Amino acid sequence: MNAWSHLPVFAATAGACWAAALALDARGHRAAPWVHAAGVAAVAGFVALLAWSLGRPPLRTLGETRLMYALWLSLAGAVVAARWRMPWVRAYATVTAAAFLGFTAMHPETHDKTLMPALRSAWFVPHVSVYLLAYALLSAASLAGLRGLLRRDEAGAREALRVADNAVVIGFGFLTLGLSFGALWAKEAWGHYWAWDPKETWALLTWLGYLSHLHLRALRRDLVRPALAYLVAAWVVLLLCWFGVNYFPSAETSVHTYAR
Amino acid sequence: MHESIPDIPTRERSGAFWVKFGGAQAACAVGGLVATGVALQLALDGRGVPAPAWPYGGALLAAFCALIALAARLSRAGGLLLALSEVPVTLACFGALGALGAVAGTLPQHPPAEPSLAAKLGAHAVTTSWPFVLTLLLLLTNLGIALLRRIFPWRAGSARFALGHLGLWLALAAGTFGSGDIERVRLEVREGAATVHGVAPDGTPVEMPFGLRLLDFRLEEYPPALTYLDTENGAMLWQKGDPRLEVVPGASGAWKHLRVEVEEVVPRAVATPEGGYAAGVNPDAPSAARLTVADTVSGKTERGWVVGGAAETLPKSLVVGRVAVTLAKPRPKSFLSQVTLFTPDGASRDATIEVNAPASVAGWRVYQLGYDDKRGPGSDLSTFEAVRDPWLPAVYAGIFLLIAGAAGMILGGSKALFAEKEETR
Repeated sequence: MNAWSHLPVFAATAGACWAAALALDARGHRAAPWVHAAGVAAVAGFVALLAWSLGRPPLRTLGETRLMYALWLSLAGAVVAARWRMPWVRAYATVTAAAFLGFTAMHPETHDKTLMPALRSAWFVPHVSVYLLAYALLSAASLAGLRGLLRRDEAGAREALRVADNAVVIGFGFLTLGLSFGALWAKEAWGHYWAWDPKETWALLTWLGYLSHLHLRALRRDLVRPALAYLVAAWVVLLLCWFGVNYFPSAETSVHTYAR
Repeated sequence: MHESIPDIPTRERSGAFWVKFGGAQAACAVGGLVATGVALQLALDGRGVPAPAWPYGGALLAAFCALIALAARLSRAGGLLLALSEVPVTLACFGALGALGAVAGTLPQHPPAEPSLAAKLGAHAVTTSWPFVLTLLLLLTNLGIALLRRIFPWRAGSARFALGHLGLWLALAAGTFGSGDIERVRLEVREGAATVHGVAPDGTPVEMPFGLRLLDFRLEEYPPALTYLDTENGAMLWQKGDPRLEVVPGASGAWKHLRVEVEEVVPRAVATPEGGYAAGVNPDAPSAARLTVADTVSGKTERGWVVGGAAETLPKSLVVGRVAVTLAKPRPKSFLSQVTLFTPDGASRDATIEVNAPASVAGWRVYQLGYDDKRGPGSDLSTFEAVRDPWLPAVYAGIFLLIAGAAGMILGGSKALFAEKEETR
């Protein structure tokens, strides 16, 4: 019996739990994280069933990879949300995870569609998942920065910066994980942990940009509006790294351009 | 309000420009360093920083560490050495490295065909250029002194500071001073043959401390996809991002004004006297497919065979108006080599090497690099890259400390990070 045929049941269970958790969140109900966790457990249960029936970790096909995204994102998003009382992180991670799960359930042809050799690695899913969380948190920090800049009162700007700072620290933690996992993967795949691929270079610049913010904040606690403005500028580098790199002259040799 | 800690003197913050060492002074100092780097780059006619090999790299690193330790000790008296360890210098270094990195991330990083001023300035090899390396060394100095000052004496917050900062220092220092010791050697072996010889990137032959016999090379390909060519100038009309139709029986799809249906697919195609194709046994033979292509603008429909190009089979396309429809070269789905590795002590063992799964032998890691891609599945040649990086454990130790520091940040948040600052304000 092919384990994939059970996916709709597990996916529907997870989806129902996550939808209920989001509804409970909206009312500020304390049970929300537990209901969300039940959804994560449903995905984890299916991953275990699939791994058992395949006799190997499910990391080889497009469908398997998307399934692992759903597991990683819903889990990591829940941890951050629970630790930091940021329900929006769980909402973001849930919607993304549900999309991965739903798409996988609706497209059986992806279940056995083997990934290209370079992407077939245990590092692929963690590497991309932590980046998805990092980009979300850092984007949120920059949006909080923008909102703070628009506030006229000093107290409002300070409060926005406090919120943004926390998102930057957590997002920067995930960014560092993404960079480190990428380096460890690169060693396995290409023989060297750092190759100055254009995407790597821009990821490093993004990392330096937010690291500079943390050092600026440590140096001058009194500068509020400049720090808010800086966060907005740092976001531009992040967006360049995320979307822009493929259009630079340097991208002709990049291993991170997949639109071929 | 806390009293300032007595064994860490605070510097005099008033007086002449260089006495009060803040952001402007740090920017000037780093700017001067970058200018020095540019001058060196020009004076040496565009030659970048040479990567010293063992034992010179190790000796340089030891001397660098000793200087950092000395500077950390002397910085207790305050003055410029203390300023050297502080955040303004860190930020100025980040700024310079960021600007140089932006060049590296935008311009192609390989030597241009014709010499140019940009090439002479190191814009096409930024990470080995003098401005970049000098700034990196200043950052390592800054970070090194700061680290020593924060962990001697050990106090609250030292562990939090040390994790990420020591991790970064270790990874950067080992990666920089060890870059001259990285060896990459290319090996080519045919099925059934064995080799102990490889070729370095500069073309010099290298004798390896291990032997490798290729038992079997296996390649599996994805189904071929359709591609579209201009019959008048031969240009490729299919572009990145266009719909890609995989040629499997029954598949159908549209590309621009054409609707395509795949009726039949024949792998390892051999032409039959009747003008069709039958599956053969030659692994070098391409696939053939019978298609129906409808032009939705002109209303014309064409039906016939298309064949991908390969050594012993005539390529064939189906022409509809100005467009020739044919099969693109199939992409590899997976390829692996089964090998026997022989070590200097006379032992041997079998291993499977594939992309993302190298084998370790005699201090080297052997990676699957490629194969004879003209022959594809028929290839009996496998190419490997053997890599040796004796500094890897130090770099990995740094990366794992960074990971631990990052986990601490995710769980600790900004309150924990800036706790000391809040207290001492």
